Amino acid sequence: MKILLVSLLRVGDVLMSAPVIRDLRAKYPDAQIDILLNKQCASIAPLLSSVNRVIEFDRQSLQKGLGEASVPFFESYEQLSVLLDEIESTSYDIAINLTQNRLSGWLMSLVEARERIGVVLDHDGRGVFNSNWFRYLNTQVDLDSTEVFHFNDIFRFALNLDGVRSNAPVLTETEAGRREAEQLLAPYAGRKIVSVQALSSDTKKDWGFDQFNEALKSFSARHPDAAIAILAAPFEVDRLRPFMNSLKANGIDAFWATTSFEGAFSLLKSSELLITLDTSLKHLAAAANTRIVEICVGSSDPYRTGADLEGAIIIKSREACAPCVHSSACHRTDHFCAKRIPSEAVSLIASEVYSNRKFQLSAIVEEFSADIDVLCVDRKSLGFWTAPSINEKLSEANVGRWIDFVCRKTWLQGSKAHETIGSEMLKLSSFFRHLYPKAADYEWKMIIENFEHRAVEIEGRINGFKAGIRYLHGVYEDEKRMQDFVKGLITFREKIRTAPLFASFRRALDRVIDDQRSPAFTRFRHIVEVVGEIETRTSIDLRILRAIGPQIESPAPDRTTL
Amino acid sequence: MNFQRELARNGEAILKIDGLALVSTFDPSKEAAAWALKSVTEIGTHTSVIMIGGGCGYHVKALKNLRPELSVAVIEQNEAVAAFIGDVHPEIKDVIVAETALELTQSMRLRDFLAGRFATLSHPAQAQMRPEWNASIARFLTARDPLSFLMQLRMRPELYSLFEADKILKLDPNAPLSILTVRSLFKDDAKSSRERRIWRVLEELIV
Repeated sequence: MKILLVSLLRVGDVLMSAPVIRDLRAKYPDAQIDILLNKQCASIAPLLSSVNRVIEFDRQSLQKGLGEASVPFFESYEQLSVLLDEIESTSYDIAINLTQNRLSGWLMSLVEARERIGVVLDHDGRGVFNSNWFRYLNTQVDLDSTEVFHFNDIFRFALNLDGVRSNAPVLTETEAGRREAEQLLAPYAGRKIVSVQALSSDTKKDWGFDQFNEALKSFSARHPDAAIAILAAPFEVDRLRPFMNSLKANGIDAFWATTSFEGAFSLLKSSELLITLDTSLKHLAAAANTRIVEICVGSSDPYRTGADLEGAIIIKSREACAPCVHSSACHRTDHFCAKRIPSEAVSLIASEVYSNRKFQLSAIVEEFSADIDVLCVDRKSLGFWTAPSINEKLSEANVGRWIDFVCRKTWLQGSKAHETIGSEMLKLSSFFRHLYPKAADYEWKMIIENFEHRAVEIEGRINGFKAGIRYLHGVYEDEKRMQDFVKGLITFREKIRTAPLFASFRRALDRVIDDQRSPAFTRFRHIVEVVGEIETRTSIDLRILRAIGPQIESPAPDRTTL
Repeated sequence: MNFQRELARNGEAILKIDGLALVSTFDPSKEAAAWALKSVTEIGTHTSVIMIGGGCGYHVKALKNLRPELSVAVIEQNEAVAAFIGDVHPEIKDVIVAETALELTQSMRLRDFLAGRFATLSHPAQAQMRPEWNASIARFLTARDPLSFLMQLRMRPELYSLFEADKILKLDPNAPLSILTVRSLFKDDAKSSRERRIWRVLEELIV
């Protein structure tokens, strides 16, 4: 078996997907697994022990060939042809696109493989996905952050890796990295190390040196045993120098940790904790199984790309504009989302995580709840990545959101999900008991009954739509009849817009209601698909609601450590 | 033109055209070695080089000394210069004589070079002696104007059949080609071909 992975994003994205690659290796232990990476990511190749061969995609050289007048015009064409010939010569059985953009879609169309998973563009530029999950990934960009599945779960489910268990390391420490870390840590033998990444790739995601300084000052006062490693790529040292000077001026025992990725991984393996922004290092720390406190500001979106590590803590600003869009400057007069995260909160939370305890975390989060939301990554309870808020309150909106996740997962899994839906419901009941330990039975009863009542109502509406579709069949080119039908969908969408649990149906409805461009037949086909989707999802919702109600009443066991 | 064969101070054979030496009259090999050392950075990872102007052959030899794996083709304007190179350096095989870029399209040997990645270098003295010829050959090799692009396409039958030659001829001959212009030059039925999809990947790199 020969497998090619196409991953043409940045270093952080490749590192994030490392657990998926590890699981893929566990599923195919004897396979040759190769990965096509941007050449700029080649520095992490030695860490990717699950991969047999790294093939480099030299994006910069290709772009140079296209843009520079002195370079032959066919240069990039030839360069890409040679790369494709090399890929073709391996005769891959499976090619998997982990990138999901047009560039990789066209590239996948050129890869000869028995099976191609993930977006492949056909000759007209239309996406073919070969998996419900990858099709879903394509629409996920339009969803609110809190509604989305983590990228790694989408890949796992799409590649049927959800049942795979592996004890192999996600990334493998290298000898060179170990030596680098040992040299850095030699003067701090016997000390506990807290690594800090105070700069991100985008200034919008930076929290600010002054706030970091305050937080670390307070943290160091609580934990004089800890030495602070300031992680920096060589090109970041100049920017970080004033920060380091101010740490020293405050008497904080901090030292430079300017390393390669290999060295950073080894350093993180020796660290008790990483305090970081949204950077590739959080994925390195997750792979090293090192505790993480992530400060999430600007365009950082933890729900899509959070650290894939049980118990990782994410501190999110409650500023209304966060998370903002990528690739455009902050439109406000100040970096309010960053400023709203109090240094003291970060210090106290980091201190709790460093001490490996949880019992005060809830009180700290409550204290600062006006300005921050604090999430804790939970990968085990539901079998996929979730990050519920610490102190999450029982409400229809919150409960509906979690049920909707399980419902959508079941729906996207298709027929194979019917075998496992019972265990999904058990997991959900247990998750609810842990998340809302103080919820009374009557509160649960009220929420579940309300949902069930609405689901039955929706079933009725769906039956009406199905009758309408039978009527519309054959006359869909009649614009008036089509408009009348769509008006019914609009009314339905408005009714469910704010209904917890069912609000996500509106995304599916938006696609057909707002579609004024497709030919009549295509639009009709999309309507049939969307009504079918809502019908299936409603019936799954009802199965879940009827099953979990009685299960939630059992008391929850106490959990006191992370 | 008056071609004159002489010996440099170090005893190596050199050629003068109308009294102007194509290489150093003191030590041609040393001069060529210094030039080659600078040129290898331009060559980078390429394994093929097309030299515009062969000089007296010492520059080609110096390149091969530094990078023995290189394939070097020489494009030369004068038969006499080509004959001199063949005589003094019989190991240099790929010398293509062409007065114009159009003549180059007939060369099967050059076709092999063009159907891959190559670096272009100019012989420094000859580039000064005949700048117009040098520029026209360089223009053909980079293929960034419609006519040169079309000429090179004709040397690549697998690509030529996918393009609308008429459309290329209608383009402004002085306007540099861009990848986005090329997009509009493909035939409609080319879209499922491998070659067209390779261009699609390249288009995404620009977008």
